[in-house]
Formats: sequence, C-alpha cells, structure tokens
Amino acid sequence: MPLWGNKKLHQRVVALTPRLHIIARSWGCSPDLCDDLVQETLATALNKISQLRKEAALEVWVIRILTNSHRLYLRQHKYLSPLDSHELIDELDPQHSLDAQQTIDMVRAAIGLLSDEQRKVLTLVDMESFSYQKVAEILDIKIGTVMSRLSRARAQLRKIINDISARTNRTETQPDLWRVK
Amino acid sequence: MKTSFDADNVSDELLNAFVDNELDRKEHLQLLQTQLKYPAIHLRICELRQIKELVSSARHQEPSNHDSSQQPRARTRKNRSMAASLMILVTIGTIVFIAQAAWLKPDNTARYRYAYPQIKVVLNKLDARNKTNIVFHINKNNVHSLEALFTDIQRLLIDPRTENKNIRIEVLTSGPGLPLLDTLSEKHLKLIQQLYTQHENISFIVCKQTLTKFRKETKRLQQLPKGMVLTASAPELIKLRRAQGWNYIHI
Repeated sequence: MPLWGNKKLHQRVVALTPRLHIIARSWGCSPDLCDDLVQETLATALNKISQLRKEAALEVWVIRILTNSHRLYLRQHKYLSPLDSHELIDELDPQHSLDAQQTIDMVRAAIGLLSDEQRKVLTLVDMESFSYQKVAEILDIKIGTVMSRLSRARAQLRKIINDISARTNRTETQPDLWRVK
Repeated sequence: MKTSFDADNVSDELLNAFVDNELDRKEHLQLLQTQLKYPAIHLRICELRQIKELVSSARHQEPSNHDSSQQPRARTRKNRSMAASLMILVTIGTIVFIAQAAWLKPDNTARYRYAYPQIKVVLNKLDARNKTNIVFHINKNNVHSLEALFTDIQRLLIDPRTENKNIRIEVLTSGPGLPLLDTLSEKHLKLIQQLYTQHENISFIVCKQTLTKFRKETKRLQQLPKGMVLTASAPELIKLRRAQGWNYIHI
C-alpha cells in the first residue's frame, strides 16, 4: 500500500505539531515564526509523503523538513536573534521564580548566543533526546560533525553561563551609588 | 586488554558521548574506570552533565493553543483554487454585512477615537502583513491618563487591524507613575489580569529601580499586581525597544 494513502501516517505527521513548535522555539524563533515554519513543514510533509521510504523514519524526516524550512528562512532574512536580550523577571512567587525561571531564561538566552549550527545540534540532543545518528540524519551531516559541534556548543554554553553568572554576582554585591550634590 | 583511557587521551567528544550514553559497552566501561582514576575527568563529566540538565530544563512547553487534531492547510493547486473561491465569497459576504451593519447601526470600532492619537498613527502605518510593537510608558501619577490608556488598549486589541495579533504591547510603569500601582482599584486589577491572561501579546512591566526606591520609602507595594513583571531599568528598556524599532508612546 502506498504510504501517501495511509490516513494513520497523515495523523502521525499532524500529531508532531506541538513537538515541531517546541523545536523551532528552542532554535530562537518567535512564536509567530514558529507557527509559519511548522505550518510550512506540515504542508510540505503531507504533500511529499509519498517520498518517505520508511514509515519508521517519519519523525526524523519531518524534523529534517523543518530544518530545511528554517535554513531557507535564515537565508532569505537577515538573521537577527529574536531572543530578547533584555531580561524580564516575574516577581510573583519569588522563591520559585528567582531560582527556576531566571535560570531557564538565562540558559535560553545563552543558547540564543550560540551559532545556528551549534544550537540545532545541542537542542536536538539535549531537549529532544535524539541519538547522534538521528541528529546526523536530520541535519544531513556526519556523526563526527555532530560530536564536534555538540562538544563545542556545550563548552561555549558553559563559558557564556559562567560569564552571565559572574556579571550577575558582581552587580548584586556592588554597593549602591549615591550622587551627592 | 586496556581497562581505562589515559587522561591525556580523553577528548571532549568522547566525554560528551559518554554523558549522552552514545558509547558502546566496552568504551563506556573504560571511561567509568578512567573517571574513578582521574578526579579531573570526573569533574569534567559532572560539568557536562550539569550543562545537559540545564539545556534540557530550558525546553519550551507545548503551546497551549495548538490543537494537534487540526489539519494544516494543504497547499495543493485544487485546494488553493477552492480557498480562493471561498475567500471571494466570504469577502463579498463580509462587504455586504459591513455595509448593512454600517447602514443599520454605527460601527463603534471604526468610529472609536483613541485618547492617544499616536496609536492611530501607528495603526495607519500597519498593513495586513506588517507587524508592529508599541511600548506605552506611564511615568505620571494621573489616574485619568491610566484609565484612558486602558480603554485605548482594550480597543486596540479588538481593532480589526490587530486581529491577527500582529501587534505586541508593553505597558511600562516607572518614575512618578509608579505610585499609581499602589492605588489601583479592584476594577483595574481585574482588567490587568484579564488582559494579561487573555492576550499573550501584552506585557505589564515595572521598573525595578523605581519599585525598590518606592518600597524603601513607603514600605508599600510589597507585592506587585498579578501579571506584572520587572525590568532592571526602565530607561534601558526604552533605549533597547527604540533600537529594536518599537513605537514609543509616553503617557
């Protein structure tokens, strides 16, 4: 039976929507851009589903389409990091938000400072729990490249996070300055 | 057979693969032995695990407005032509409806006059595809200005030109405007919360510097109204937003 006639396969593609959205968000895309990219990806996947050779490879195949759509977008638009460089702090439930949400915001901001290549490998491995083999297939690169990019990404991320933490600690310990007239 | 690696031969790639459980059984055991032997390797592994944990914790949540059962637009030629025909019908229907509505009953949205005419200027510049951002800066302690602003924002959010959420709004309170937050009525608080929960494109921001000073002097406003976030410095945020091309409206 041809794959394109498989209704269940269509449903499986559509069911990937939230995950595609999360992946696109982790690459630093704004919610609007995520919607566009995911829409584009789903439309392409459903139109070209006859090109899918193995049903088991559906997930990797669809995420690969998302990667290509994102790459195309970056090529067409001058890339500006949509991640907000100005941190906004939620003051409600201070005990929790100060520790947890600020750390998450900081990590997201730090991920946003990585190169697009490093960010994609890092998020696919650490956030989406893909194996190196699958990441290599999604990004169409060799496993060795996945390993080196991941290694550089984590080293770079550690450096950025340390810098941010050091800066924050310095600001907190600085005394208030008063202008004396 | 070698039971562990030499400390100098352990590359970062190998350690990362160990952390990600990507090594085969033999290499995995060798590296376990190595980290027992060399504390520095153990430390590097711990750091990598920590980074992995951090990245994993920063994963975005599933968007709540996504209905996975909803079929996406299939961009086939047939569907496009059907969509085009449908759109023409809908457009004609809408025109007829609007014409009738305008004839029978005045359209409040179209006739609404914004208290802050700058909003109209921003909206006029807005076309269907364009996106725009506005930062409203409250730095006067005037409750009437605040009420006018709230009415404008409510209208702005239902304005046909911003229906597809191509607008992002930030309401920033700082300086002399901050005491207003201490005098907000139940009605205002409810409105803020309602706007905040119903519209993801609006944020209420308070200047942390002013708030700290206000709290020190008055011991009041120890808890901000729900839905409000802090920014370290209002002038810095304004500078940033202006650099990012936001429209700035002073209240």
